[in-house]
Amino acid sequence: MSKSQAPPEPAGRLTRHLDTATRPGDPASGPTGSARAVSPGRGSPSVRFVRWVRQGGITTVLFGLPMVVCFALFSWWPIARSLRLSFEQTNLVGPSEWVGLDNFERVLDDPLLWTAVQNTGMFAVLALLIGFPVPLFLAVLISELKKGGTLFRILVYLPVTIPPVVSVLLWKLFYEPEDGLFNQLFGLVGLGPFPWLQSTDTALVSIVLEATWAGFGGTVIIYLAALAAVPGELYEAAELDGAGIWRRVWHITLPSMRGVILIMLLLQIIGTLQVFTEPFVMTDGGPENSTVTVLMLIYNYAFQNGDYGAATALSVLLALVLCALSAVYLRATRRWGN
Amino acid sequence: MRPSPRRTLAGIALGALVIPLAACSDSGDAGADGTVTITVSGRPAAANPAAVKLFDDKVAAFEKANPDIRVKTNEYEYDQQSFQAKVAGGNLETVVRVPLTEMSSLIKRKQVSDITEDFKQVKHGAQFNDEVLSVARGEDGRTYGVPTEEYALGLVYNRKLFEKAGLDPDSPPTTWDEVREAAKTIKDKTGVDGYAQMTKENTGGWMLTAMTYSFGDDMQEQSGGRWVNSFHKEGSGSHKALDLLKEMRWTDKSMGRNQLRNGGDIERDFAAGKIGMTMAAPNMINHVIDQYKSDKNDVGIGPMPSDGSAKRTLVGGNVAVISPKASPEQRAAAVKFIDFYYLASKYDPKRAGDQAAVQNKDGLTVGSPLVAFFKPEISDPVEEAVNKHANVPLEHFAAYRESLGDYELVVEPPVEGQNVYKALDNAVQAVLTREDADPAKELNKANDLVKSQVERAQQ
Repeated sequence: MSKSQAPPEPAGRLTRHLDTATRPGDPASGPTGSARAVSPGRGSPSVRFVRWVRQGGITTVLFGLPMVVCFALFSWWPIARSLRLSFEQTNLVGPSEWVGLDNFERVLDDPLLWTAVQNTGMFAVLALLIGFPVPLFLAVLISELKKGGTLFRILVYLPVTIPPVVSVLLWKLFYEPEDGLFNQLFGLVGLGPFPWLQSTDTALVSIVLEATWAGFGGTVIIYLAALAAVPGELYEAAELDGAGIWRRVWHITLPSMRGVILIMLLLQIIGTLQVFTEPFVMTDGGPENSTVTVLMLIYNYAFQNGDYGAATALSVLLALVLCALSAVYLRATRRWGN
Repeated sequence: MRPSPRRTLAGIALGALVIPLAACSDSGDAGADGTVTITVSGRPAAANPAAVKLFDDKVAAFEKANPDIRVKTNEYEYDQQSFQAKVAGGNLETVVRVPLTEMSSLIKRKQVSDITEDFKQVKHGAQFNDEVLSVARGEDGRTYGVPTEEYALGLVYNRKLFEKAGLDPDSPPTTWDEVREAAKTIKDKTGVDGYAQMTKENTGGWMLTAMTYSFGDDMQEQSGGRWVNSFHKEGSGSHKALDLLKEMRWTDKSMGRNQLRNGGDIERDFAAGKIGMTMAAPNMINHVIDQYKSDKNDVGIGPMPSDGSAKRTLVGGNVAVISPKASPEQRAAAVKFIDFYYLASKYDPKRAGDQAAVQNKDGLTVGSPLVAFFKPEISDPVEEAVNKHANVPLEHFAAYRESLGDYELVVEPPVEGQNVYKALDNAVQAVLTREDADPAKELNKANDLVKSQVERAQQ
């Protein structure tokens, strides 16, 4: 909430501050910075070490240590352990047994896998079509407002403050086919009743709508922060040149936000490919598996079948796909992003 | 979109699993003075002080009667996720109650103790109804748990709606044709959906299995020494069941439009008066009265409908299992505890009566019908003692109660029951949400989904 209530100036300052903080070579910018400051130094290793210590190298390491330990213990170690688990069979009681690629074979043989992959891909595409332009449009709109910007910021961010499961359950009630809110509203103007979650044709779209509603507030706030960082002179100059609002948006706003937009797009793709909560709570993958996703398969392997080998194998495959996707994406947009 | 909250669930789950693995926990073996400590889950929540007191008193009485056994209790109740995490962390309670639908997979994964030898110490163990005990047995014939309560599925119905629709609430439908007719009458006369069925989270397949049994058929059959699916065969019980649901949903329009529901959803809608009839276990009566405050006079239960050829129904309930990490001493102590805590009130009329009196005093429903665990000479006096304290109209369950004697109680499909259910969820959902769905085709699709799992499980 506090973020949403902040007026534009502080948000802009924050962005600028972050910019300077991460500028390479700046001695105040942590490990990377000091490493770079030192690297051009010449001399024997011992001299370099003494210089490194004098410039606060040990403090840097000490500062970094808790983080590294936390990451190692709660992130890297489980990742490494999962990697091993994906080649093993275990009942979590006795010792686990090395089974080679069995788990991967079983996962790839599952007739549901391709349904889940298709659904997940479809979800990502729909979320992109519906969920990507909306926050961008709203952010530009709110930033153009002369009055009431803060109020709209709060309103837009409000859905994010509702716990995900609560909003999902709420929308499930809204979608009830007999007496749900949506069908009643549409009924007032003589439309419907629509099946929403009850039909293979509309279930996935209905879930995307909910997910977009629940998540777009956060994205809007990030875009607003980026917008605040666009230098005002550019707009003034454009206005003097007689550019209308759409030309200003097209030629100044969007190009200035390119970097943020690209990162948000990537984060969204990664996020939507891991969709779980919404279909799990709303439909359990139904009707007829039309909303089953890759993460739901992983969940079912692990918690329904107790097949941790298959669950981790599919997790590893998903992680690989996401890594590859991100690499391709970053490469393809490298030139574009700067 | 918000990527962060959904960060790989698998990662979180596995993280949660892996960390405790590293920290090996002790299993609390026999102490130096020869006492054995066991942990028992299922202490009622603190919000229900009367039930907590009942539980604690019983545990204290057990400790007094068995000075060499110490019992630690906690409020854990089985659910799939935490059970697996507890097994992995080595801190599973010595005694946990699990739904009997989970038994076959837990046995297959060796996540429960074999208690065949210890079970011989159970009082009246020999007089157990074999049907009742069979749910706790593995394919190898060994015993892996002790049933704590069992239900035979029946037809739960709203008596008030029956009256409104001009039907006789004292004679619920007993065949599927009558169910269909009654559902249509209820819909036509009252506008309320006459019949509802669960469809998701494996309950769709579970209920279809119950219907298949009631049509005198099974889900799997032996072929060349192995189990194979038979539910998808032309004219199978499942096929007949889906045909019936299709007619009710689309021709009679007596099932409404809301079809993606689990047991909890159905209970809620039933209590709200939005459902005429549904297939359920009799403990649904307790839920809708205790939890949703339905009028106890409105709820009735009749026997599982049949097609006239067979009298069969699916059995549900809970089984107390013992942690696979328990030492032999703990195992013996745990079986003693299960006998004392869960079984005594089923063979000892005095205890059963006392317990029912306390439940009645606490405002909990007493008198909904249960499957008898023991031969009639033991079970009948117990039932009599309990029913003295009944606070629901027993005559509303008479038809069901009488049917229990001549109905065959059938257990889960023998191989990969839960995955068969999951695959069949789709078939049921298809028939109930898509008018042009073809039951035969949907059953074949379900078989394609689960066939290889069934094969693999027997390799």
